[in-house]
Amino acid sequence: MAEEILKMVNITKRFAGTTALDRVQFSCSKGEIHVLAGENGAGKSTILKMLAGIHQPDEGEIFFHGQKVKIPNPQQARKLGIAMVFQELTLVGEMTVWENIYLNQEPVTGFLSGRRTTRKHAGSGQAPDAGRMCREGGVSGWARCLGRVDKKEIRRRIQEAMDRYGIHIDPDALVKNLPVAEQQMAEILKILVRDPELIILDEPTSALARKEVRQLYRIIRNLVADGKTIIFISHRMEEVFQLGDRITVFKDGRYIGTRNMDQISEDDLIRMMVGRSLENIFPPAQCPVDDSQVIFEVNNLTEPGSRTQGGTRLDHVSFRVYKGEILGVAGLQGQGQTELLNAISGLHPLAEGEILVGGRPVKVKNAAQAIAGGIALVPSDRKNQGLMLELSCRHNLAVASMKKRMKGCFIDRKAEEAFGRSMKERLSIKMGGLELPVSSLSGGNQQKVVLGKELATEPRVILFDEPTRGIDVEAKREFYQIMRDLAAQGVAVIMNSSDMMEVMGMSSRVLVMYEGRISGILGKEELSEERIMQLGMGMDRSEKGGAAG
Amino acid sequence: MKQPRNRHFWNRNGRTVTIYVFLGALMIFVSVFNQDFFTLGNFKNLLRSSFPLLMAALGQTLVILTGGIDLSLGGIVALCNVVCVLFMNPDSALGFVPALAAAAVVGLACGAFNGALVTRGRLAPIIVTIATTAIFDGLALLLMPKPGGSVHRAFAKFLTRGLSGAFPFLLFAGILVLVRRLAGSTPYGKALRAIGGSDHAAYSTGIRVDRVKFWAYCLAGGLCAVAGIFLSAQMNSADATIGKNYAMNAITATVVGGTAMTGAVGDPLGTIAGVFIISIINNMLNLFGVSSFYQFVCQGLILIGALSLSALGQMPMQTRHLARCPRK
Amino acid sequence: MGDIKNRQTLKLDLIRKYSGSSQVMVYVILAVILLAAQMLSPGYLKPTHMAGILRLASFMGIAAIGQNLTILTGGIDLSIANTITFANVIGAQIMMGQDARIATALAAVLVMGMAVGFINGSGIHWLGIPPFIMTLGVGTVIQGLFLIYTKGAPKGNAAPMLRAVCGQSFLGIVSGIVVIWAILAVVTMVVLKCTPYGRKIYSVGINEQAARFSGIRTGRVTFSVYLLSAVIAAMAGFFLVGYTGTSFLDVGTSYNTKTIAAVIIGGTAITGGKGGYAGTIAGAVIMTVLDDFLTIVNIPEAGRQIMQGVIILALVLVYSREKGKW
Repeated sequence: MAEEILKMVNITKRFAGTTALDRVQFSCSKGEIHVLAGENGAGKSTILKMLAGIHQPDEGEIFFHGQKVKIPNPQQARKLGIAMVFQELTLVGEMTVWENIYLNQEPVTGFLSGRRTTRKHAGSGQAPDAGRMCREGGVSGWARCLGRVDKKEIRRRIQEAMDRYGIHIDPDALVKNLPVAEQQMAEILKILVRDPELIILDEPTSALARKEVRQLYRIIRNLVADGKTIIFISHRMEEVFQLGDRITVFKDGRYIGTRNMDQISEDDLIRMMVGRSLENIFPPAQCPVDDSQVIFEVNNLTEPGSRTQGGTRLDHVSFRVYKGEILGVAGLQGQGQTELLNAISGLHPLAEGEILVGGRPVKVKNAAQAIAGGIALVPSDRKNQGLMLELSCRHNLAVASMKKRMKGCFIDRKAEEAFGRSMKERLSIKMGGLELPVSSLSGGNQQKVVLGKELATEPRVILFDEPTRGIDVEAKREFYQIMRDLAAQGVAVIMNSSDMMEVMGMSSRVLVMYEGRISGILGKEELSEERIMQLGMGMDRSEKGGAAG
Repeated sequence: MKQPRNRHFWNRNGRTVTIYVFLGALMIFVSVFNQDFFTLGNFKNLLRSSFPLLMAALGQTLVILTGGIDLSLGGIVALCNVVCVLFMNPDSALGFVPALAAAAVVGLACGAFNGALVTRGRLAPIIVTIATTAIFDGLALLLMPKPGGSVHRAFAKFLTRGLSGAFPFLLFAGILVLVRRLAGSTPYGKALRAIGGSDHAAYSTGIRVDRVKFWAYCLAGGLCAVAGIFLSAQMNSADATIGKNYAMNAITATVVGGTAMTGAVGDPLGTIAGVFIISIINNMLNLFGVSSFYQFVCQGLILIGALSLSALGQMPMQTRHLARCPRK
Repeated sequence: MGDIKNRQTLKLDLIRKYSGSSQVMVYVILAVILLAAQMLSPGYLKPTHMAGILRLASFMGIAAIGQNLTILTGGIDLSIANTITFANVIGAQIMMGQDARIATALAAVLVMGMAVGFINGSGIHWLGIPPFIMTLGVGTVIQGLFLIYTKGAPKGNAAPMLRAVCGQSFLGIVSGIVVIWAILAVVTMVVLKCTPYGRKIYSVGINEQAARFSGIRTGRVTFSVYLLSAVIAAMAGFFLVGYTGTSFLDVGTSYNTKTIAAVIIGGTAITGGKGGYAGTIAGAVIMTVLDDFLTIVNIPEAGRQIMQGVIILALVLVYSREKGKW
């Protein structure tokens, strides 16, 4: 085996209230593609962000090239030659592509004088690396900060890099005007020009279509051929087996194991990631779907896109939900799934279309109207969209249904406390007390508070957007059970999830979206990961009409 | 996604071009009423009277580019004005040297104080600078309760009218070029804008966010020191309440000049046009014999109008809640 | 940014620990300051003197109600100072010292307040302009308006009845304005703690997006808060006529800083969503006592101004070391 380039030992990380990583280890050798796998919330991103200098371990040690290192900030990570492509993009939307790619990395000429202080590379076949250029030029610190950014040189190098990796992006375009996939490629280019030794990619393909995915694979193989080391976070089986040399699995913040890719089967891997077989996690449906009774219907929901990005965010989306059914929503990231759920919940006032709850049309120009019409949303981002973290659990549980517990003009405090306690029982929320801030709860319990808040509005339609992101397996199971119960009670349940297993395990039908349109609705009998992927890539649109009926 | 080059130019400089077209139109409009408008003397006057605000507005632009705000600029101008005059020795030949040094040090120190509180203290810039306004204003008033003092004659004359009136212009042009270069095409400027666009992204890219922000406040303080020194020379005295409207006017000029209050987007060149627009409108009001009281109304309306326009421009068909960067 | 975030969560923990009690703490601070004043200047705590302090504090306290609401939603109102002055000059000029004209004057002042609040609220809600800059701009317009209205020389004076309510004390202790303040204060606290509207204000201040997702019409809340703030500031300006007898052009000038200071001293987080009016009452009294005491010991206006700045900085450093949302 090759030299061990990176070793992390006994890493522990706690965030307020929860342990994200519990004495885990991770190591990888030079020149390999190492996949880090695990479910949402397993701690994959957390540990790798330590390498990028974003998080600090509470305990444990990091060895790089056999030497113990501390990475207190991104500057140090860069010095060591570690670069990371984050899940959330680190591009500045208001700046151009070339400015972003060479941000904090610009080759300079002298301030005002126009004198070149960096030497031009003679051979231009070389991979562009501004870091080395700057060091060679002897320009650093103050002088560099005040030097004149050498735009020509940057353009030349970007062009070179793009030719080399077969990427095509207009370097002068503002990043905010690019489609998400091109932004992702720009982000990757930004890492490449820094010429790092160890490259970390955090689910880079989640927003890419097939063509770009292939391109990315090619880039990664090129990099490995150049002797770079790649760490790759993924939970797409196909990609794991296509790319990886070795795989390390985390689960719930714990280290499960490391295997060579050729010694492990897909089933083994799933067992390692989930810890049990699928049937045990997903409770069975309690009652059959009654497809004579439509309880929720959306007709021709359309939302115009922004001026700069053009196109439409939602394009004539129509579907029905039958009694007793859980409808799954799937697709590549950012194809309009979240927009669909938000539009139904009244959060996109510009969306037009007909929404029928129990056969009666409901106007949803704002969230208050949607709630009054019996539509509730459990949003994907509970910290920013679901909860008022610093306020009490009671406040959070009650906030969407305050009007239900009034005594004259005032809030009936006693009734509210009783309500809070009953909700706590019903969802078995573990909390220190109703008056404690909701931030003191663990992820799963926080998510239950969000759910409790929405259930308190007594919805007839409930939309779940990534309901189990970042919560532990036990809480997940409870969540699934609650969804089943709700469906059995005749509530229309719609669930958007990027977790394929979850979609397949829970839904009776799956609605797949591509570029704001429904590219197909798959019934139970034709449901397979492959079909979902196909539809998600925008193929097979001919079936749309038939399936949507 | 290839776009023609001129489209990029428009993306980048559209706001600045628009504002200069507006400035030009305004000048032509004024010249109809004022035969002397397009004369050298008038331009000299215009520059002299706008000079301190030009400096403060350039400083404000740097701070706003980071997504911050500095309401204490007026306080710094006043304090530097007072300190400059206090340290001035009108009788000795080099009596202005300690004054310049003292004012510069005070300006930078005030800026550093703001910067440290914003970065180290992790406080909102608005509240920091509201509080420091009270402190700087108070200090100026404490040092010089009543307007007064006197200024080195030769120095004042050179600063405001030197080289037959060309010196203030040269000084202004030099500072403008420096600031514009700094904000536009240095790594520091790129970092400044990146922070304004997304400090998270800037941090992940390895930019020392706190340091860059700190220096933006310091530079703003330094530019205010220049404004304070120039004011001393112009008035031949100091006045602790001189800075009252500077913060407001500097913000107005910056916003009118096309800099986004949210940071990242903006050009010091536009800010300059903003300052001249304010000055010319004020001159025009004077010319028409309108009471100076209307200037406040006018300035407030300009600020609100510019803000509304830029807000409307940013959200053509969308509500503002949706107008955020994707995947964030 | 993660490290910073960690530091922030740690700080949040600290804030959580103290924010519940900071509204109590401020009363302890008030007591200490009063005792100190009594020791340094014997007779400071005399009932008549304290009545004077309370009377003076009530104007700041009333104006701070509006400031408190805007800060609780995560905004700020910088047009309060000029609204107060405008209300003051309008009130005096219409009243002209006649009791019969009080109602007309009050009505005019309230209409003016509503107009100001409407403009502030519209810009902030509909156009999404940051609150501080919108209110700053509107404040400048108002400044121009009252200068034009008075032509630089305010006229008129207070009606005897208003003067009796705001300027004099019954039995040497309680004056009308203090009673008005007390009523407004109770109403504010009850609204904030016990009504859906109050809940909505806190929700918007803590996390506007989550509030919107929870079905709160956040735009309406924001709008209403600036409307209320301006109307309340106008009322404060109106009552000030009764206190001073005539109107001045700089009667309101210091109220932006002072109301912000009172709210912050009172334990309301400048970032919004935490705190309440109970502490602000003490904050207003503390600001008045310090101002008054520094005047007694012959510290000039400039020194008092510096003190205000230092107090605000010190307290925001202690209470809310987080980034605001402007």
